[in-house]
Amino acid sequence: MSDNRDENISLLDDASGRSDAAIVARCRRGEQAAWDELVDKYQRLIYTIPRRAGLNDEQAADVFQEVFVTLVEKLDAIEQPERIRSWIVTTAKFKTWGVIRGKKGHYSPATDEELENELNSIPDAAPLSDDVLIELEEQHLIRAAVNELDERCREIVSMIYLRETAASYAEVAMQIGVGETSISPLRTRCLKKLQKLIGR
Amino acid sequence: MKAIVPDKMMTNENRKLDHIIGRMQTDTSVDAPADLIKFARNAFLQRSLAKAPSMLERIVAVLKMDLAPNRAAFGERSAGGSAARQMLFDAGNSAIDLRVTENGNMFNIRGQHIGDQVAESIQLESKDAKFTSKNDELKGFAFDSVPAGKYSLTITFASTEIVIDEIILG
Repeated sequence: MSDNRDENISLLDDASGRSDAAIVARCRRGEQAAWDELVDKYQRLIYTIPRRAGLNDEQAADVFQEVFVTLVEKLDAIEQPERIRSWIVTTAKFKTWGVIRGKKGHYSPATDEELENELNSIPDAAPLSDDVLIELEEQHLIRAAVNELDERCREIVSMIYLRETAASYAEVAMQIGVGETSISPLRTRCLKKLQKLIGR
Repeated sequence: MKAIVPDKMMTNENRKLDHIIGRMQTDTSVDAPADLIKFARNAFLQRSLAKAPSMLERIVAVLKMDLAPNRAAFGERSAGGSAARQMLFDAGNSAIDLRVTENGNMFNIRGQHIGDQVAESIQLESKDAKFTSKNDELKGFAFDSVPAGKYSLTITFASTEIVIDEIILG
């Protein structure tokens, strides 16, 4: 599969932090619906981090559970709720590294300083380098934006770009019920919408 | 699929779009298994349970002193007793001072809670009537024109309530 990504471009200076802060505020008030929203939004990213590091399903499940348990415990103490995504990624990375190093049991650094020291002890060659985490975060943001597209655009973008094997224009045309020649301009329009959503 | 245009000819917007497409094409992430998502959702219940308000601690106040009107307390050096019936109740780390004055065939009650907390509500209740009051700045409270009868008094704080089970007026 081709990879056209540009290392000089970052999608992470997005505005999604504002909506995250609002969700966290609702969680702090005890709203289960807000928590469910947070789980739905981040489950894929959290599960992907340990898997990308090479952990097996069981180990990835342990990391996943520990991240959410820690999030529940520290929900009120997170100082920058608009940066909850960074907190989640850092915590998942830390828990993953704990499994790789063979640390057993539920362990959370007591302070941010302790967490930073622990993270600094992870060698650069570790499977979850900063580049990998940036890639996973960006993919998370893109998926979130795809989910915000209208149904037809979501279908087109998902079929062409998010499947393991990209669908042909003929397949997409059949799926959404338009002529095959319409797919190219529709695809372009949908990508522009997607780009706009990401750049909000 | 999409032709790659040399960098110099591409606008920033096009480069960004190519970057997005590249990210999508290399996205191998999968959803977490359903049982894990269920676990994550349920994890919040711990917090709800931990945050749920605890039951109020109920303290039953015990009558320590009951002075009829115009009677001084035993051993008290006093010029004269109060015109009110005075009752003092012990409620653990605090006390309740109640003074009851007749007002025709009704009664006026003045009380004071002696302790650290400020009451959220104070309720005087019989089987026929209910009166409510609030603390003033001296943690005092008052009920006026209360008919004769058998009452209970409940003083509610944030995490405790003090109850005087029986106050008989008249």
